[in-house]
Amino acid sequence: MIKDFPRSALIWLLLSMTSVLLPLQTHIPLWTALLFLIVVGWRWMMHLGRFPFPDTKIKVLVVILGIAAVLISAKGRFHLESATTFILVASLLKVLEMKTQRDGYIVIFLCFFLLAVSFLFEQGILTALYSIAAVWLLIAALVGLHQTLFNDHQIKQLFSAAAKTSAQVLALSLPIMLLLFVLFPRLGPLWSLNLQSGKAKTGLSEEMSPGDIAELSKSDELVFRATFIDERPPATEWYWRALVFDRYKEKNGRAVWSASGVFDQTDWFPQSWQPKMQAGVFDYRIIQEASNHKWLFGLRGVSAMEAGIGMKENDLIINKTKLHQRKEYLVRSKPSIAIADQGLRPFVRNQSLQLIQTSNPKTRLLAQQIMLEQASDQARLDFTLSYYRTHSFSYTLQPTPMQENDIDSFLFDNRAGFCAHFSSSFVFMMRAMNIPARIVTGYQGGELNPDSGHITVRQYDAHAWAEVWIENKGWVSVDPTAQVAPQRIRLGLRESLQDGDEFLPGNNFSLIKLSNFQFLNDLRLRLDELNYQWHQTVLNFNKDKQGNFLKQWLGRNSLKKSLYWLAGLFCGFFLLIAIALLWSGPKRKLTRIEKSLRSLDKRMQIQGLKRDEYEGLNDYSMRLQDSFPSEAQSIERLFEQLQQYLYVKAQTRNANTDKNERALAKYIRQLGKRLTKDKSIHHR
Amino acid sequence: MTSLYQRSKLTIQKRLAKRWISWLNRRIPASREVTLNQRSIFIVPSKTGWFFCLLLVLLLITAINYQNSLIYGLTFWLFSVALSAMIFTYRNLSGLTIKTSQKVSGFSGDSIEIPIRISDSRRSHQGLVFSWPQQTSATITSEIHKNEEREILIPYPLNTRGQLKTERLRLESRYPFGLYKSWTWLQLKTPGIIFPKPIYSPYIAGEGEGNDEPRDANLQVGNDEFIGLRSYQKGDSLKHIAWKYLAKGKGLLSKEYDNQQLSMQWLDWHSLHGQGVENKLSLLTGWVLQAEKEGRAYGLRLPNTAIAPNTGDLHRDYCLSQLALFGKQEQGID
Repeated sequence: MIKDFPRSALIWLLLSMTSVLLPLQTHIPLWTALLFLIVVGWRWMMHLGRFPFPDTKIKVLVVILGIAAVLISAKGRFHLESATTFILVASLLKVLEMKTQRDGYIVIFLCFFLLAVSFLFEQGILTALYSIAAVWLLIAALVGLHQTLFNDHQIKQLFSAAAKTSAQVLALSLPIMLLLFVLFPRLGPLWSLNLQSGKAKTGLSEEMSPGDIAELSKSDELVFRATFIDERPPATEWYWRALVFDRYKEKNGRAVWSASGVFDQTDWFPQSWQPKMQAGVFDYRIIQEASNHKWLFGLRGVSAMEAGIGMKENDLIINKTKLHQRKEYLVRSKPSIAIADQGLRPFVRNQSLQLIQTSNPKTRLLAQQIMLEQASDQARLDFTLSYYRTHSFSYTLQPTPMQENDIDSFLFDNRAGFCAHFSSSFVFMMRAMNIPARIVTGYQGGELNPDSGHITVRQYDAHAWAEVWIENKGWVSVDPTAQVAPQRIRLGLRESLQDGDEFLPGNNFSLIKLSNFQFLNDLRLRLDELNYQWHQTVLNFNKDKQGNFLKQWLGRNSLKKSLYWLAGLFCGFFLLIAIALLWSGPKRKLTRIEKSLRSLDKRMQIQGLKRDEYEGLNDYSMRLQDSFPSEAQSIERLFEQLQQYLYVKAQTRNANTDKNERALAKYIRQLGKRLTKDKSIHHR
Repeated sequence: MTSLYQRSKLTIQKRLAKRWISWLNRRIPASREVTLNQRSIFIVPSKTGWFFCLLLVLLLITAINYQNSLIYGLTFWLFSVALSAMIFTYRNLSGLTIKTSQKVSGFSGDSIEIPIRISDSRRSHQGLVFSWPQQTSATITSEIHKNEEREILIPYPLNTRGQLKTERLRLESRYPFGLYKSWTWLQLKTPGIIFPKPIYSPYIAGEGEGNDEPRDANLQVGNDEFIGLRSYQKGDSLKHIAWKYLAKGKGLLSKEYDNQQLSMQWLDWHSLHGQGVENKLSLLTGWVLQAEKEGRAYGLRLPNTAIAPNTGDLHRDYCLSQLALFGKQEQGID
């Protein structure tokens, strides 16, 4: 059965399709936007009758072109983006030839799937709200497909009917959706998915050369949120560790820091070390955004607290698998702990002293000098730190680029740089003085939301600092940047660069830039809190959260009980519908007159004079008059009145109608009684 | 063995069909007016509905594998919409009143349009598809507004002569989401009569007629002479109405012919020998139509009745219905 859909449905379809494709556009190749415009324009011209529908030749050509474009833009790699592009192009091509109701279904179903796919890219509260509108449009398009056009003038009416029906069904479905969301048992992934986003995430990388972290400072993308459970350490101690770099190597003409791999031994929870809960030990929860890496974040003295999380010797925690999805986890830290106070193993020591032999001669010379002047490692460290303070170094995110002997030119020529410069030059000098040292990268600080108490860490909070081995103390954290730009540590990047243009350059529309306006800043913090709650309660509603939630409401054995509940609710739902149907079937209430006529019918049935189904009132009146000659007159009069009443009723109703109705009904009953007693009945 | 098995299977099928029909007759009895309610509406998921289910399964798997709460939410919402859609689809038929309209008539073998009236005072209905299940003829799609009454003409092929007795009319609707189809089987008692299929052939004069009646009616053909106009009287043949005068606004006038008496014709059952009953009726029907067309007065003689000669549409219809109901008197004509 091929049914063309009405004109209004096309508008709905194109609208809903646009709403689904719009948010995806930032994640897929730009040419799809062009294709989208062409397809919509073409289809609209077909709708207006200016272009014909494409024939088979054109269709085949377009499909081949579409597939080729997808393959070329995927560059032979199969990832989430290319898969999305493929589905999207398929649905666009379907739009082109869309004509019948069936085509409409296919496009709508594909759009629903694309909407779900877009949730793999974005899940913020604004995305969710936007998607409600998209779902509404899609359902309205579905309704539009089934509308039969009264005529073209009523197209507005059709629109409002579809919009209303869609809103109604969505509202009606909301309670069941919420129940299912809470009660439906959350399972682990059914099979491991290799289809992940191929887009490189901004964020820390596993290598660092001076200049890398400045790139990150241009991004205000969310990295993670942290909430301290009881006590919160002061903001200057918020050094969130992610990576430790102890290898220093030349790569493509540049000196690059990376991890050597001497610390790859991992203790998995619960075998790993755990400090006892006491003063100076902090518990905190972190909701980390997808990073496509394994590393997790923690303060100094970190320990793994959950299954699937392991601890490495260099005071870092990692996840068992790469974080392709957002992850929430609990961490415990004891920042005051001495790391590896039991001593330094020889190969760790060697790794932490390794340098590129011929590079940066001036720096080496300076290091030799300090080494000879100062007596102890601690004194050498202190002196080196003060060197930055006393030689008018400055903190900037836009340093002049340095190539060969980068540390020499930083220390002696430019004297302006950011954390990556400070930390790498510092570690270089320490190593040159034969003191084991390494670079730690991660994030520093974060914005505390005063209402909810959570800390939001964004990419521009990325930081690099150093750890130095001091005998009897273990690894000691040192932040050379703090010598030059203490406000960077105390207040964070945003505050410290507030007046300049350096903060988020080229990102003029970032909300964070508006934080100077009190009102807007409040609004921004409010939105941030909302998003945090959204992440914590909705997006991270996982197996554990569901278990806790259900335990709270249903007590023990909650999973089994939740299934019973689910089954019970469904039975209840259907039972309710059944009851509602039985209760309020479309039985029309009989009017008074109809009731009285029915009673007359019953009486007459006994006499064998029931009114036939086909019999008009006039004929029946005549028949009754024939049968009851003595009552003929009153029968005639009554039926005349009755007919008049039935006719008038359809035209107007006024205050008297009710009274007349009552009187008439009474007469009919009386007549019925009289006729039953009438012995003069005259059977033909 | 196999044939026995097949036979028993066939009878089971037949028995089931019989049962189904008798159940349906009890559930939705034949009547002139039906208001649809939960007793008369059936509803099952449509093919599209099953595809939607497939989509939901796909979405659920995606949600589970990617551990994505928003996809879970979307899946559950759409699932919930699919459940609610049942109520919406049901509502699109529920409360709809379907009535028969005026009497219809036609000849066996022809197709007529059966008028039905649909109305609802409470809500409007969309995408109502009427069809006869056993006919492959086109379906009729309609819709009504709240408080509107609309007459729909549904083509129906006429088969056997007699009182019109249509099969069950299927009314289906998938509005608003297409995920379910809801339908009903309507047995409407549309008043109507099916005349025998006419066979045109020359008249054969009846046997044993009165002497003064001419033996060969054909002799009279062409003798009709127009003598003037008189005012139209009920029962005058439409063929004799002076349409030109009517168009000029001079009122309804009938042409008068001087030889109406002469061209009187008895159409006699008994004059037809050696033909089957149905064939005889068909021939008589053809004669009636012919005679009416020629404007002659004709009478009809059947084994059980005789209708005195006369002319006019009323007379013709009476004759035709006598022919239609011949031998089917148990149904009676009121």
